Parts: sequence; C-alpha cells; structure tokens
Amino acid sequence: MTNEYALEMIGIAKAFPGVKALGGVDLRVRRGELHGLVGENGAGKSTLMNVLGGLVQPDAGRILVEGAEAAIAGPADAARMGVGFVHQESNLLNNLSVLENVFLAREALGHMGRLDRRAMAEEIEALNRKLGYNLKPFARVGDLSLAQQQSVEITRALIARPRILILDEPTAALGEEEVERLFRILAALTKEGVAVIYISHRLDEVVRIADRVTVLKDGCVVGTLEKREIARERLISMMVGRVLEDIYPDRRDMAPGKELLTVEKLNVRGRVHDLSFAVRAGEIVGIGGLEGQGQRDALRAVFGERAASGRIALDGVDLTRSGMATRIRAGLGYMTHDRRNEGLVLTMSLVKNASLAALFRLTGPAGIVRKRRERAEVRERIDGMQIKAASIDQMVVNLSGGNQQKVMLARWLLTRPKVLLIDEPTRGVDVGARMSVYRIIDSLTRAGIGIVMLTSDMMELLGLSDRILVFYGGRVVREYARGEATEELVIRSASGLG
Amino acid sequence: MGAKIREKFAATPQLFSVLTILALLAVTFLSMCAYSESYKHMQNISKLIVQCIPLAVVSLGQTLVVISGGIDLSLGATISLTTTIAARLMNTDSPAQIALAVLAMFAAAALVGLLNGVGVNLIRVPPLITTLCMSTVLQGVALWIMPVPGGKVNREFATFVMQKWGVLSMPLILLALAYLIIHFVLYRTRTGVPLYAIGKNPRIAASMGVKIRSVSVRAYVIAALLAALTGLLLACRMRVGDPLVGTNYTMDSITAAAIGGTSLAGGVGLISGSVLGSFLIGMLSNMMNILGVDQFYQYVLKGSLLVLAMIVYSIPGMLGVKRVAK
Repeated sequence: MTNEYALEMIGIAKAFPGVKALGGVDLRVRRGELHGLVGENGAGKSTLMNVLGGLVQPDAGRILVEGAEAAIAGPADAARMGVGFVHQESNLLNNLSVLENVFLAREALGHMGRLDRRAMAEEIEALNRKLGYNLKPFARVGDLSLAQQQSVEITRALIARPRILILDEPTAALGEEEVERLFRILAALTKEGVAVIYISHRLDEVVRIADRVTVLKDGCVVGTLEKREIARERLISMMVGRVLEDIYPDRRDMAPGKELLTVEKLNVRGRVHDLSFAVRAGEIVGIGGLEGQGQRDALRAVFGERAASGRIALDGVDLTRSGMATRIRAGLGYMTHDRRNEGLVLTMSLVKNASLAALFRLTGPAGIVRKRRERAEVRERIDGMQIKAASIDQMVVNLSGGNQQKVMLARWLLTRPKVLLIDEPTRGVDVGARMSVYRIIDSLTRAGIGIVMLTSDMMELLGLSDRILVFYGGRVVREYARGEATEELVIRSASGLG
Repeated sequence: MGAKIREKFAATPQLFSVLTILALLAVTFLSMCAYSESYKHMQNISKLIVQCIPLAVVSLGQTLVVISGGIDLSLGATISLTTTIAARLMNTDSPAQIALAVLAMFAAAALVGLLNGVGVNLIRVPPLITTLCMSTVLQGVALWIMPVPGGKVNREFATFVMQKWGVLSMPLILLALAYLIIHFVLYRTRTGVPLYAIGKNPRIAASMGVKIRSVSVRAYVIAALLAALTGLLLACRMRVGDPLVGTNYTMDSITAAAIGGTSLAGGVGLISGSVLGSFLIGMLSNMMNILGVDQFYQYVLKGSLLVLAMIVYSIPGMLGVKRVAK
C-alpha cells in the first residue's frame, strides 16, 4: 500500500467577499473510514466539502485523491475523481423521475447512443435491494417524501461507485428507523473500502459511528480525534471557546414592558411545528440554533411571507389573516438576512431605499410621494445612525456592508414599527459597524420597540439577547433567560441534546 | 396493466392535457360535421390537416425552448425571413440551385438559433429580450430582402412539397418525421433529460454535472431549424415569399405549447401536447372562418385561450394525479 489516505486536502483556503471561510485547512481521510466533520455554524464545513465536490473553487491548497494530485474544476471532475456528494438540502429536480435524477449526466447508453432505460432501472433495483430501499425508478421525485428523496440522492451518489462519499447532514429529514438503515449502509460501504465524510450537527450520531472526527472552528482545524478519543464533551469543548467581546451594550437594567407580539401554535408545513412565543416591549428575543432548523421559516411566517397556520397578534390586533402590507402598517417589520438580493435595491438611491417600506406614510392622498417630508425623515434617521454616505442620493451599491445594513434598519424604523423581526443583524459587517448596529438595536428597545433577532453568530446571540429561544427540528427546544445561557448550553440544545 | 398505466400517468401528468385536447378536437370536429355536410369529406380533412401543420412544426421547436426554461420570440420572424430567402432563390428550374436555396434557409436559421443561444447563455441577456431583439432584427432583414410579398418558388418543387395522397400529404410526412426525430432526441438520447433539468433548476442541474449552456444552445438551434421548415412549407404553399407571414406564429406557438401542457416556467412539457394544441388552434380558426366570425374576434379568442390554458394548469390537482409512489 503506497498511501493509507483515500483523500488528502492540504492548506485549503477560501475567502468570500468580506468573510474568510477557510484559512488553510488540512483534512486527511483514510480508506474505509467514517470521518466525522463537526463545527459550529459558519465554521467552514460546507465550504470545505463544496471545494471537494467542485462547487467552490479554493483560493489556495491542493487535493490528493489516492495520493495523486486531483484537479477539481467542477462537479463533473469531482464525480470523475470518485467523489460522491449527498447534499444537505435536496439537490434533485422534482420534475424528473427517480431514474432520470439518478442518471442525469451519467446515463447508461446502449446501441447508437440510445438511452438504455432498462439497464438503468435494473441498476437502481439492484441498489434498492442492497440498500433496503424501495424506490420506483419511474416515479416522479416531486411526489416522494423527503426521506425518499434522500434515498434518491444516496442512490445517485452510490451508482457511480465513489471512492469518497460526502454526506452533509444526512439525517436531518430522517426518522429513527431510516437513520439506522443509513448507518447500516455506511458501515457496509466503509467495509468495502469507501471513505465516508460525515457532516452532522447531531453529535451523538458522530460519537456513535465515526472512526475519526475533525473539528473545525472559524475556518480552521481545531484538531482530529482518533476513535478512542471521541467523546461528546470533548467535541463540544473543541467547538466552542470564543471570547465574548466587550462590544455589546449593557442591558441588565432593562425591564420588559407589556406584551406586544403574540404567536400561538404557528405551523409551517414540514418546517415549523406548534411554535408559540411572545415578545414584550423593550425586549430582545434572540433566536438561535443551527442552520435550517426552521428559525427563518418561523420568522417569515410571522411576517406573513410564508403560508402558515396559527394565530399572530400584534398589540392586541389580530394579524393572522393579514397580508404583509397590513402587517407593516400595523407595526411589524422583517429585516432580511439577504441584503443584496432581498433587502436593498442596489441601484437605487439611499433615500429611495430607506423610504420604500414607509411610503404608505409618506404619500399624499393621490398617491404622490411627499418628497420634502420623505427626504427630511430619511435624513433625520441617517444622521441618527451615522451612516457614511456622500449624500442621501447616493446609490446604495457604493456603500459599505455596514452602512447598507444601517440603511435597511432605517427603512424599517421609518415604518414606525412596534415589533421588528431582524434576520442576521450583522452578517458581512465589520466590527465597528456591528457595534453601532447593536447600539441602534439597544436604543430601539429603550424606545419601547420589541425585537426578535435571529442570528447564527453565537456571541451575538449571547451578548445581545434578553431571552434566547433555541430551535431544533422546527421546534423551540429550550428557552434561556439572560445570564443563564452559555455557549456550551446553547450548542448542546441546538444539537438536540436537551 | 392498469397499474402500469397509472404509473405512466404519474410520471408524466401532462398526458392528461393530451387526452383533454384530443377530446376537444373530437368535439370540434363532430360539431362541425353536424353543421356542414361536406366537412367530413376526406378532401376537407386533408386540407384542414395541411393548414395546421406549419404551426405544429414551429410549436415543436418552441416547446423545446420553453421546456429548457427559455422562450423564443424570434421564431415568427425566422419563418418570415426564410420564406423571403426561398422566394428569392427558388425562382429557377435548376434542382441544384433549389437544393442550395433550401440549404441557405436552414443555414440562416441555424445561425439565428446559435446567436439566440449565445445571447442567452454566454452574454446572459434574458431570453425574452434576446429573442425579442433578434425578432426585430430579422424582421428588418426580411423586409430588406423583400419589402412586399413577392419572388417566386419553382412550381414543381412547390407541388412536390405540398403533394397529397388522400388524407396523407408531404407536409404531414415532414411533420411526422420532425416529430419522431425530436421525440427520439428528447426521450431516447442523453440530450433530452438535461433539457428538462435545466428548465427546472439550472443551478442544481449544473451541480449534477449537466453542461447547461450547451444544452440550452441546442434547444434554440433546433427551434430555429424547425422554424425554417415551417418557412419552407409556407413558401411552397404560397409560392411567393412574404416578409410578414410569420408574425402570428410566435404567439400561436407559445399558445399551442401552453395548451398542450407545457409549463411556461420551464421543466415540464410534452411535444405531443403542443402538436395537438396547434391542431386545436388551427381547427378553431377554421371553424370560425366557416361560421363567418371576423378576424378580430379570432385574435381575442386566441389570446383568451392562452390565458385560459394557464389558469387551468395553475389550479393544483387539475393536471396532477394523486401520488402513486409509496
């Protein structure tokens, strides 16, 4: 044996605009081992695997497969190198059949370039028998359950007989029985010599099945544990350990006022289950949890952007059946996490962006914008927030991330909200601007506004929230009061450990 | 057996729209037979079919483009352009020159399709804009070649292309050939499934290894080639070129595809539906002509038909069967 490693990733670095996702990561995976990959949100797990899968091009670093240099410029290259990828979110085309999805871009061809459907169907049936699935090759993927869709993804990955198989959060949509089946499949694969990379937030699973585990934090490897060293507590302590910076306003003197927002039994199909919570005047309710546990769906449902059942009331007014325009007028706002695509109209001026949601207040009877008032109100907000811009007529595309974020905040303040839902208050924003965003949020609560803040930044969650709701699997699994929560406790709850 | 059919329908729910159109066609036909004694004569039926064929041919192409997630607004102008090329070059008795003229028509169309594909996929201008601009340009070129209808298509060649044998005819054979080739490409080769894949979600398709640009360009080229075939049929029928003859075919081909169950959002559709949709549009036009309905009402009806088709297909469960896969 020339090399014990099926895969070596050496010095992989990748920066996205404003964020360093990976800073020189080394990962070595042995043949026939199940290698766990864990870390907090944003630790770089998915980016690293996307590099391996050909979906992201690294800025630096080398990849060796079976000891040989591998150039991976796209998904097709990755497949050719024997890398199979089962994605976290369904990566299938639901207008196509199971067979078409499994064999897309890798069709079995018969005589004269004709598709050999029978051969492909037989191959799927053979894998079905081996894996214990019951997939009908000609069923439409859109008609399948989430668990079945995942079986399709695994079938697609395995039909190419990969040497390296990546599974990104494979058990998120699975029931207990299906998880056990998946584990049996993985055990059989590793026995055959396939190297499996297993990303999961569920630490119990990782402890149970992994032969080795690599822990990532802030785009760097904290360490790799051998089988005998793997323990839950050890993993958690490796994942955490960031210092709580002194950039959060002191809110210990705040006493919440009357109840403003009431959410009862909110359900979003397949995403949020029986969510009930309340927000009081002057309160910051932090929402934490790992990505994709239903937090965002919950927030959007409260704002009326996603269909949901349940009851939503704001300051005594029932908004359950109202559209978003009515909710905004009633005093509800939702500030998106995706500034560039959903938030700002980048090619419009600062003043137009800021007044957009409040035009209902700033227009006269004939629907004509009261320009002078619009400009005066925007200017007042801008000055209060210290937005650095040449003028309020400047295009927002030219502003820094932090200033853009403040423009979005200004927009929602102009609607005179009672409760503001903020999705990622400081994503892609530098430290200085973060501090001023925190100060603005703090001052809003002191003016009697209630804030719901969804954040994937653990420090922000702990530092700013008066109360923390931790999501897991579409439910709030734990609520912490200020001072009660620690990073370890929150990660524990967010990982489904109580 | 029953289970097999159920599975087939579950895999392609658009089969229901195909059945619906067949029923509508039958109803139209039977009611016209009741209205007019001569309607069901073989000669009339054959004439009716031949009338519908140019639209059916171009709709095949439009369907491919729409399935791939695009739309081609330049097909009508491509038809006009190719008829003017035909009428300019086919006023001759030399078979060699006629062959050359046919070649020129298809070469021009292929170039148009290629430019559309490049504009959409490499320059990344939205299909609506790319093909709309292309349409205007082509319209200009057609009017430059031939400001008013004119030119001439060789009589023998035109008769050859339009000849009939009872209910059979050369245009019908050409349509059948085009249909079979497209059907083969779509469902029997590795080009077909990726076309549906990029129409549904190009990002996911790319992540699964599909070369999305090359697939999309192919759709635009095939569509333009089919428009050239339509142009050939029209030129041979009229025996002159007409720089405006194709104008209505853009909208009609989209309507035919939509009636046939092709989703204008991409990723879903059947070419058989589009062919039948074209026949339905043709028969309704013909019916209204016989009944003496004015041309403007016919426009209103065609527009309404498209909206109606979209409404019907947007109602969930109208098309879809309940899931059979367990």
